Amino acid sequence: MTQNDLQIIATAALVASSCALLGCFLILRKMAMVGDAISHAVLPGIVIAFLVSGSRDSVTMLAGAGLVGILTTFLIEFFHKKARLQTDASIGVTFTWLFAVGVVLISLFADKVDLDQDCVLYGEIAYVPVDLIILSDGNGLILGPKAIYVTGSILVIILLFITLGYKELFLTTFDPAFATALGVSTSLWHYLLMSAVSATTVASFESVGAILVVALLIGPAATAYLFTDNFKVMLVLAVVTGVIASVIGYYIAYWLDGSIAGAIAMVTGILFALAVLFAPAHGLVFKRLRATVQP
Amino acid sequence: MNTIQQTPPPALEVHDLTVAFDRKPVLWNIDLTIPQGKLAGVMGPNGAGKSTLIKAVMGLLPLSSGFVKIFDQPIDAVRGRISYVPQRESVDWDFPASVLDVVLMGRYGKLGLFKRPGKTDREKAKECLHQVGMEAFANRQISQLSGGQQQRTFLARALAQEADVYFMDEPFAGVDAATEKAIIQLLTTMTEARKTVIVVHHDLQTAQQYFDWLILLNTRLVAHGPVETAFTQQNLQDTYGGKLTLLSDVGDLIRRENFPNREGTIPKMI
Amino acid sequence: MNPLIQFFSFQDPNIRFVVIGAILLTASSAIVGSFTFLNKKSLIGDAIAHAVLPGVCLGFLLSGTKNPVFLIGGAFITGWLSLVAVEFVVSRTRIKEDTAIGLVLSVFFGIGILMLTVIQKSGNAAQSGLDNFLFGKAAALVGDDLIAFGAVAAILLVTVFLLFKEFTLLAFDKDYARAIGLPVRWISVTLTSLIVLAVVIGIQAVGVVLMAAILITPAAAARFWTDKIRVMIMLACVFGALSGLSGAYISFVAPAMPTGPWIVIVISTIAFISFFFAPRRGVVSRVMRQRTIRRTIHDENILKALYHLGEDCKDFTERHTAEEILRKRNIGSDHLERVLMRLKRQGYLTTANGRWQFTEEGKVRAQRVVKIHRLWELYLTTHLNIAPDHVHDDADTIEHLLTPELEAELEKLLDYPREDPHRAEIPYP
Repeated sequence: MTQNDLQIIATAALVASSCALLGCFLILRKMAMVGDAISHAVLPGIVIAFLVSGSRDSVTMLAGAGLVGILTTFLIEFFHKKARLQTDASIGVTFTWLFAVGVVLISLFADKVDLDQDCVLYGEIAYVPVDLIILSDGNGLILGPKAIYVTGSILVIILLFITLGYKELFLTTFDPAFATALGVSTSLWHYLLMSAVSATTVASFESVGAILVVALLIGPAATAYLFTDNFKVMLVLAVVTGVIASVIGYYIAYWLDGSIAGAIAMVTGILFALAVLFAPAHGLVFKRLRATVQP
Repeated sequence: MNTIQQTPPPALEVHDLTVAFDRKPVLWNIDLTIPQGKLAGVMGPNGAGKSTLIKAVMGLLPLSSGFVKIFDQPIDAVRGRISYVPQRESVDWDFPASVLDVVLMGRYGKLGLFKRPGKTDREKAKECLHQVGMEAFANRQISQLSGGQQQRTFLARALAQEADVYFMDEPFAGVDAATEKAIIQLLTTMTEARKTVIVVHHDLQTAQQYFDWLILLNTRLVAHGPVETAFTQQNLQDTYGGKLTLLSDVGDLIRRENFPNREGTIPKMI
Repeated sequence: MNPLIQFFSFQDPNIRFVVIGAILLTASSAIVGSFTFLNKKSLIGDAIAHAVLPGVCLGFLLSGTKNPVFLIGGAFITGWLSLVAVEFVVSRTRIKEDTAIGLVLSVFFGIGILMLTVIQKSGNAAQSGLDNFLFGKAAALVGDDLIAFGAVAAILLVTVFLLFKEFTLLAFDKDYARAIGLPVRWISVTLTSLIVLAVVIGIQAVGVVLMAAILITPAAAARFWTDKIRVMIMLACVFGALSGLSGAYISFVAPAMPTGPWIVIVISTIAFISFFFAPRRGVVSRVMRQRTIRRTIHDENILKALYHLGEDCKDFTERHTAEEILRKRNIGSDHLERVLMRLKRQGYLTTANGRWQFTEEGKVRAQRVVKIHRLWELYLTTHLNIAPDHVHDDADTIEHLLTPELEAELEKLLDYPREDPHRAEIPYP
């Protein structure tokens, strides 16, 4: 394994970890598709932030695109509650429109925006080792790939968020009515969670693109859900699954000479399928065995 | 010297309450009080608004008119003293949590933001589990519980809140006879300790023996008061006898036309 | 020549192909998508759309060409497979439906992207243009494609036509359909196949990523204009076709642009316009109706106030000043002025020397409002056991709402009473 390999895998693993943690909440809240929607909808925000700030400065991008994430959540609510459009259609109409706008903006401003429309789907993670942060002091110290810093910081923020707000997130996920009765604001925590998803999506966009973010949000969490009934264990297992998928996916892509993001997504699927069959408590193979053993 | 006896404030006071569900009024002008220390049953046919009443009181649904007071104060001021046991279907029991995890949720109201449940909270939770006979199940995953055990877990969670008023939505639905007996016993003990328990109930057969205070609802209040006076043939007839078609038609009209329930309430823009 | 004119004169056969092709694709997707919309399963279309990508690549790999038969065939297989996978996961594990859809969608798509990139790097010349399936390229439609797609679209339309009532019943009440003996399973399978088929041909124009939009959005837009299913589907079809046409136009004017996003932007715009401006269901319409309601409430309250003044003087032809009215109901003198002027314009009041008087219509209307108010109060106290001092506010609202039919029902129910709970007389015309 070369240093480049390590850096790429590390970036993917960091993204996978953030996504896995958030994904556990998303799937238990039955908001997997809202997560999918947000990960698509942030695209115009990224492009506009790019155009406005004229640079790839991550902080502005994160801010601008994060706002679009909140806008998406708001729009979905608006169409559903005020325009009285059914939920599934509210989600579908909102994110497809926003994503389409994003793609059009990229085509229109192709020269000003350093994004390729196919790349937004699956990222350019192979370029991670090359895109370095260089300190502008006399020595020109190379701090390392920018992507690792960005995705690493996001992971730290997510960890803080989950640690500090653990019981509120847990409560609003499990029993929103009881939460309201206790005086905990379900909508506040909903928006906070969706903002976290936006931030993670945006931070990961350049490296892994929109589709892989969705796969990493849902796949490892779903896999972990089949293995355990303990939420804290589920969080850990999801992260582990995500990291494993990143490593294996990378090597498969290397071997086939194809998209790294695509390969990682495929591996999350394979791991999930294995869990469906072989997980001790809920896996089908063991269920079948138990059924035959106890008549 | 004359001392003026201060009557303790009622556990619940509902004044001129109208609540709409999906824009159609399902509760019209409800006026009632429940004194402290009562085991009160809220009864009525399906769709009568029983769950709606509880949810409106808890602040889970907006009020079209009227107000709710607990111990003479608005609900937000006394949330620490109210406890809520929702219907079992309101929650996904596949959730990866243990019985203890769920009961601990009852302590969250007492902790603030960022605080973790500590030793005292765990002790209290275990004690509540003991009260409902579930202490052996503390580490059991909730997906493995039977209906009765789920109900008892919810009850333990409510107890862990150490509240003064308890609202329960159909706690006996789908629960075995032994659990039902145990729960009712617990509730009676609670009222002996001056707690007030308000239960949405569906079984007429047991209403008289379980409760000492009764509320009969059918979109409007039919009767309320001590069970001896409220539980009469006439009242039951009025409650279960049939729908008020005109009222229902008018309600439908309000929903279709998006009319305000009260002139005073500026109808929201949309 | 002006490109607009050049395009819409349809003289160039290529333009004709592209236009017909794009319209066929988007219109048939819109029709089929209407049923997923009615079933509240719009996002399934998104899953299928993402899942066909590996199938397209598979078709290419197996045949070595971009022969549409292979590509469609491959797409159909993986499209169907994705649904089977979702169904399997939901029924056999504790995973919920939204999670299953999202998972299948992203995994299948990931596999598709992997295959696509491998193919692209393999250097096979035939593969260029395969990535058009990502975002769509209507301009790539040629005469031969048209025949294939035309055939598929025809199958779609005929099947929908034949099975229309069955699809509709299934969407509305599946249990009832089962109860009356319809082969629910087979009908669902047919509908699903149609959706997969529509997706498979639609991705040519719109691409995989945005396909869901032309299934969902036309139906969502159409829903706001009508309550009749047939009309809704036809509207969805028209909206879809419009967006397809614009996609073809973009393709012509800016060949390097992908058509998919533009089609989606057009149809989404149509949808937003529908959400806001459709009569009755649109947001703007509802806001305006609220305003009309509030106006009516204010107007009738003032008529009522005048009526009460008339009861006090025992003479309804008496003239009254604005101050007297304000004493009965204080809404502020400016507001009162506006209301009085409006009532005068509508012919309910006349005015002379700053004093206001009923016209015949005005008196009749005021009397009706007062009558309903008092009847309703009586109803609340007698039938609902509500305390007499609580009924006024309720009646204050209901009096403006009641239709003549409900009014008749009310009087009959109360048996044409003479007095309300406060002993005021109930006026009958």
